[in-house]
Amino acid sequence: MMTGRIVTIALTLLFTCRPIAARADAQARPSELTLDAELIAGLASTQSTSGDLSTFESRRLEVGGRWQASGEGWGAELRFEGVRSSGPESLNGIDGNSMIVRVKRGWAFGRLAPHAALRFEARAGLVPDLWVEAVEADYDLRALAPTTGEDARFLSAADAGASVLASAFSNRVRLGVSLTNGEGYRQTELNSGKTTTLVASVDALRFSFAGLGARVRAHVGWVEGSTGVARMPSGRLLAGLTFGAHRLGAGAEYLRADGAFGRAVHADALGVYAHGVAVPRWLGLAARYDRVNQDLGAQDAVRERWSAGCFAEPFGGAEGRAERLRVWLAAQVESAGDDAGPVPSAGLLGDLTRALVLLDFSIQTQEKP
Amino acid sequence: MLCALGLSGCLPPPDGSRAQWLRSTLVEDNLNGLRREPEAVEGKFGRMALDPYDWLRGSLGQFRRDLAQRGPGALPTAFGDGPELLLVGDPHVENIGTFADPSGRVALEFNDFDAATYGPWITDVRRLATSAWLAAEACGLDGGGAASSVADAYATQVMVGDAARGLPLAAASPLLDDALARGQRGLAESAGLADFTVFDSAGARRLKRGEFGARPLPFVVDEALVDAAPEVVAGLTAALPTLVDSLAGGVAVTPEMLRVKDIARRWGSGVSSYPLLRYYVLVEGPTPHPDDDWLLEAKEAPDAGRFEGLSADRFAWRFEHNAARIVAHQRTLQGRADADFLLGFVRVGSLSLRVRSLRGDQTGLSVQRLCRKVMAAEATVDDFLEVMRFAGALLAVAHARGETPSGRPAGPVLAAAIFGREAAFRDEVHRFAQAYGYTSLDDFDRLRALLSAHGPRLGYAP
Repeated sequence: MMTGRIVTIALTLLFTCRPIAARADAQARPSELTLDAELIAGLASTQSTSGDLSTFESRRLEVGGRWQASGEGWGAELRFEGVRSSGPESLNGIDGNSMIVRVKRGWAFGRLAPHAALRFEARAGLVPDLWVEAVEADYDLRALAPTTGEDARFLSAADAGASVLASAFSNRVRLGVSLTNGEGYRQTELNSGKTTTLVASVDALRFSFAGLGARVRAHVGWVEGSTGVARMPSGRLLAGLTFGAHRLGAGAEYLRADGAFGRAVHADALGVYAHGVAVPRWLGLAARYDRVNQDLGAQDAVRERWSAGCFAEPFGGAEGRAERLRVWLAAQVESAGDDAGPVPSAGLLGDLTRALVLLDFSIQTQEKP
Repeated sequence: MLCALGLSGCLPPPDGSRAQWLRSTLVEDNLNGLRREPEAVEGKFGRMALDPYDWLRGSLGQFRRDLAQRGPGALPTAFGDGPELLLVGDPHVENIGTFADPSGRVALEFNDFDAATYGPWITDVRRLATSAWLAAEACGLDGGGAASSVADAYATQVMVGDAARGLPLAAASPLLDDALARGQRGLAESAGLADFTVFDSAGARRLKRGEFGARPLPFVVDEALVDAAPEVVAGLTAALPTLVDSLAGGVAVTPEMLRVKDIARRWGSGVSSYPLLRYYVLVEGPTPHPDDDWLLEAKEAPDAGRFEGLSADRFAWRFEHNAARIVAHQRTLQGRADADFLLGFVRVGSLSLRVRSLRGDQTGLSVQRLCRKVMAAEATVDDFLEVMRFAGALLAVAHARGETPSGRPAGPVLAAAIFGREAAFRDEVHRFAQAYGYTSLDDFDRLRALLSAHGPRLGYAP
């Protein structure tokens, strides 16, 4: 019943909002196409009980475009990512060690603003995950790791389905609901059950910091669904706090999973991070802590990772520029509890230290505001 | 539906998260096959439901998950903190077979390296010991004794050191003698060619076509050769001369010797690899005379599978594709490149194929045959345990031939891990094999109930 309602609402909004918004804003803005690309790649030197390993890594390779119709009433986004085939979470990899390109997001949206303080957006297609999108807004450490939910494999960055977002009071309050397959954009749908996601974000604080705007946002979320042909339960409770300001960001994200890694286990994940620019252009600092308990019922199924790094933006920061090049030096220490795999009581196998030299390059055709 | 087909009684749908998990992961692991050729995966699931040992053969993915995650296989180990080593990947009793060297001497080696990769070495030992436990139980013998024999022999062989030199060719059990004799006989009778080829009216040798064995279930093919798709025939014919680039050398093979005379699709072979594309290829051989034609098998090379907690693609960069990985690891772990001088790989489009010769000397150990001989009093229980001891020692030898990912020889690593703790090692392996053996028996029943409740594709609908 709920499934049908969400889909109906999303599609209704999607197909009806265009003329309304177009009437309101037709003179305001012409249609707009923004193309962008992001590359995170570099060298990783890893030490573990199995020996040392130095590898060139491609951590993110994305190209995409977003088109908005005149008046911003509707539009679409299409985004591709390059991934190594047959890697983790790739059920359908191509034999060989090649890079393949796949669609990461592909969705159309329509907007409706029935009141000055209230705005709706409906999306359909391969839509962004509401939680990842919410907490990623103030997150600038993608080079070191994805957001906690993705990193712990509790959430996928996108999924096939539909969503509706409502924002009020100049975007101070946001509420989103989505209905998706549940398997994520990397996997095919394997059951007829659908996954419902609810996410709410509130600007708890808005203030001036160093003469510029800053905000503290609180996020909560709930996910109920299933994965796999046998409909393994897949529920999530989500909470987060993020801080974003000029050249500064910080946040904490906590996720609790009912059903994870294909098992009927309870698990949780915590991520805490902070980053900031100490010397504009030449020195930025970042730190991040991740903790995933793969099975709350086990003695010690915890995997931990500490990350610290510094970066420089030799050609300047991203403000007002269409391109950004960030050079990273970072170190990571990972440890695994005795029950955190790959075999119980063999935690050392999961322990490693890693040194990273990374390039984080992004460019887009429209200058950033 | 399956109960009507005689697979089982009309079992009620199995309850519980374990059955759910089995169903989900079996579909997940076979998703590519279910999309490409669902009937091939039906055949695999059906074959896995014939016998508990066949269940074991088809469920490596579940075994590895169980080891890493809290569940039936998550028994702690005191032997897991050393570095990873090159693993056979799926060592079990029926993955041991005979190979003849160019001089005609036949020896027993592991013969399936599809899952070979780097990982925790204890997982290989546990896999082999579990297979020994199940084999013994299938014969009505003590599974614990068989598992302990594997562990004992493994530890002893590691401690002997210099294991990479290999085992003596002479076997110590009439059951092993039987396997060696079958290999020797097959070599003498050119069994591969004789079994799968015929002469046409023009006197040219051709691959047989048809189904040669009785189906154990309506949707499980036992042994069949059928026409291959025209694009595969064209692709393989064009690609096969490139096999020479991947051969180990030792025997001069020219592209002319690999001229294709006939290609057929093989159905019904293996359990885990049942849904994989497998082709029999008849090639020219040293002379145009049909008597020295070579029969090759070109098999789709699957992924090695992954260990939870360890990144799957850490070492993928070392190989261009899966077939290259399998061939390289087979040569290392067998310790000899001359076990099959036609072992190599080719690519056809995006498909990588591991190529080997199909000679009569290559026969595998069969649990059914072992049981038959014991039950017919042609061999004793001690003879049976000797096979398990041999298997354990063979695994230690294979491991010692390998190395860590960073290139350290594996032998000293293993010796350091086990030295002074041999009894504890045996006890731990025994405990694991016993616990997981019973789990395997239960899972086998769950699979049959799942098939009965959800159909031969376990409910997967494209």
